[in-house]
Amino acid sequence: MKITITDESLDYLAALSRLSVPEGERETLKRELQSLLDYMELLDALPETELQIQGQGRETLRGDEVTPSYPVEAITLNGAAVRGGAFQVPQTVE
Amino acid sequence: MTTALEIGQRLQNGELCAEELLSESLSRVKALDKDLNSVVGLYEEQAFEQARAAQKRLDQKQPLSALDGVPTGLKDLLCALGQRSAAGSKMLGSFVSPYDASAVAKLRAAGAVMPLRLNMDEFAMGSTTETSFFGQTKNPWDLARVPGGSSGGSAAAVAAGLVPYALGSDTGGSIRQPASHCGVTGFKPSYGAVSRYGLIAYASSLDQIGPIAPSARDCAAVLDLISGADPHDATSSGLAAPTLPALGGDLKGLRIGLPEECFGDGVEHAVRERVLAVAEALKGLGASVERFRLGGLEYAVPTYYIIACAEASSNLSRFDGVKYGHRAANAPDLSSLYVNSRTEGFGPEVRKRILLGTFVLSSGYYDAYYLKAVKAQARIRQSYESAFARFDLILTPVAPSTAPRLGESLSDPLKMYLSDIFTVSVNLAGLPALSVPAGLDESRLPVGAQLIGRRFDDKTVLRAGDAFQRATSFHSLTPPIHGGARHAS
Repeated sequence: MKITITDESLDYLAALSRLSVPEGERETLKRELQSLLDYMELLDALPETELQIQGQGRETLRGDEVTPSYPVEAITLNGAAVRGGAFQVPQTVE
Repeated sequence: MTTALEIGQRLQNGELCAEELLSESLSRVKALDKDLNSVVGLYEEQAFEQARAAQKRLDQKQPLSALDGVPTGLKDLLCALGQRSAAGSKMLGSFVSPYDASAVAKLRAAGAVMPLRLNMDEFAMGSTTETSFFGQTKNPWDLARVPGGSSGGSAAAVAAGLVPYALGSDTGGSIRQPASHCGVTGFKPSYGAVSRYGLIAYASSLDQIGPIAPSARDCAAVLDLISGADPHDATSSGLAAPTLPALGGDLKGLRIGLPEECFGDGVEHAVRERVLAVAEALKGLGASVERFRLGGLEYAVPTYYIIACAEASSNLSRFDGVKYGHRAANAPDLSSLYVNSRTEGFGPEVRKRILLGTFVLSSGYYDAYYLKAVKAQARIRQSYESAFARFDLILTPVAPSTAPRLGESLSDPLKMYLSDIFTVSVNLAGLPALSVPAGLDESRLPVGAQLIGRRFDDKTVLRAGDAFQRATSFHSLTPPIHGGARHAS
C-alpha cells in the first residue's frame, strides 16, 4: 500500500494528534515520516496467516473494592492552574 | 568493577559505612558527571536520610536485604515520591511525583539509597540518549560517542562507577543496548515480571523495568527485589522470581541456539567475533551450541515501530497541560491550550512518533499497518516458540555495531531504528533477555552479547550469564574515566 505524506495529510495527522507542525520542521518531518512508512511496507511481504492475535499479559484483575486514594492536594500539586481543589482551563461554555 | 552484591556484603561486614559510601558516590558524580551528563536530578538530603537509616539497621545486624544501604540511580522515567520525574522531557520538567512507582517502593523497602535520577531519551523514544531535554549523555568509554539508549544515563552512571547499580526500562532494547555500549550488564525481565505502575508509559504492552549493574548476579538480586504481582498492574505476576538461588554451577545440558540471521552481513566483524567467542565460552561450561534459522526477524523492526508508536500516541494523549506537565501561556480556548502545550512540551522525536502512531491507527490505514503489525508480532512469537522447543537459550549480539558517534544516528533516523534489529523482537514476544559484556573492539569500545530465554524462565538466562561471568572477566573491564574507586574499583 503506497502512501504519500502530503502537507494536507500531515496537517490532518497533527489535528488528530493535538499538535501543530512548526513551519521550519515541516519538510524534514514529511521526509522522515515518508521514509518510515516506505520501510514499513516490508510487512506487505508477510504471508497471510491464520495466526491468533494475543495480548502480552496474563491479566489478573483486582477485586472491585474501595481502597484509599491520594488526597486532592497531592493530585493537584502539579497542576499549573488550580483553584478550590479543581484544575482551571480556559472558558469552554459561553 | 566491584559488584553491587559485594558492596552490600562489605556494608554488612562493617568494612564500609553507608553514609561514606553515599558521600563517595556523590563525589564521583561531582567529579565525573560534568563530562558525562548522566545525572538529571540529585537528591542528597533524602539520600543521606536513607543512608543513615540503613547504617542503623546494619549496625543492629538487621539489614532489609542484601542491597540495604547500597546507592542506586533511577531512570528519569520512574516516578519517585518527592522527586522530579521528568521522563527526559520539557513536558514534565517541573513534575514532582506524588507517589512511588511500585518498583521504586520495593527498592525503598529493601533499604536502597536513591540519590540520583538518570538521563534518558525523551519519553524513552530513542537509542542514543541524545533526545533528552536535559542534553545528551556521553559514553564513559569515549566521550565523543553515545552511551546508547534510552536508558543511557543509567548505563553510563554504572559504567563510570557513580552508583553500583541502577534501574532502567526496556521497550525495544533500552536496557540491553546501552548496557552493551557502556560495557555493563543489563537485564530486561519477562513482560509481566515487574509491575509497570509508576513507570511513565511509552508502549504499555512492551515496557518493562529492569536492572543495569556490573554483573548478572547483581541483576538477579535486583530483579528478586522488584518483581512480583501488583494489584496496580494487571499484567504483573510472580512467575519470574526468585532467580538468585538458581545461580551457580556449570551449564551441562543447556542447549543454546545461534540464529544464522544475527551473524550475517550488517554485523560488524568485531561484534560477530566477540559474540561467537561467548558461544565458545558457554560451550566450555558444558552447554551445547547449534546454529539455526529463527525466521521472521526481518519483520521485527517495522512491527515494533508500528506497535510502539501506536501505543505511544494513545499513552501520550494524557499530556494536555491541565492536570500536570507543561502548560502553554495565553491559550485563548481549550483546544489551543491542548495543541500549544503539547507542541511546546514535546521534542521533535516524540512528536514524530505520536504522528506516526496516529497515522497507523487512523481510519483507512489501521488494517494496512496496525493490524498487519499485530499479525507479524504473532508470527515472531511463533518463531521463538519453535526455537524454544529445541533450545533453552538463544545467543545473539545486542546490536550490530559498537556505540556510534554523537550526532551520527539522529541524522538518519531509519538507520537508528534498524540498529534495534536484535533487541525489539524480544519485547514483541515478551521474553527475558540479558546483555553481558563480551570484550572490546579494536577501538576499545565494548561489545555486548544477548542471551534470550523462554517467557518467565528469567532464572535460566541469569544463570547462564552468571556462569559466563564467573569464567571470564569482561564484566570487570572499566572505562578510562572510571579511574578506580573504593566501592567500584
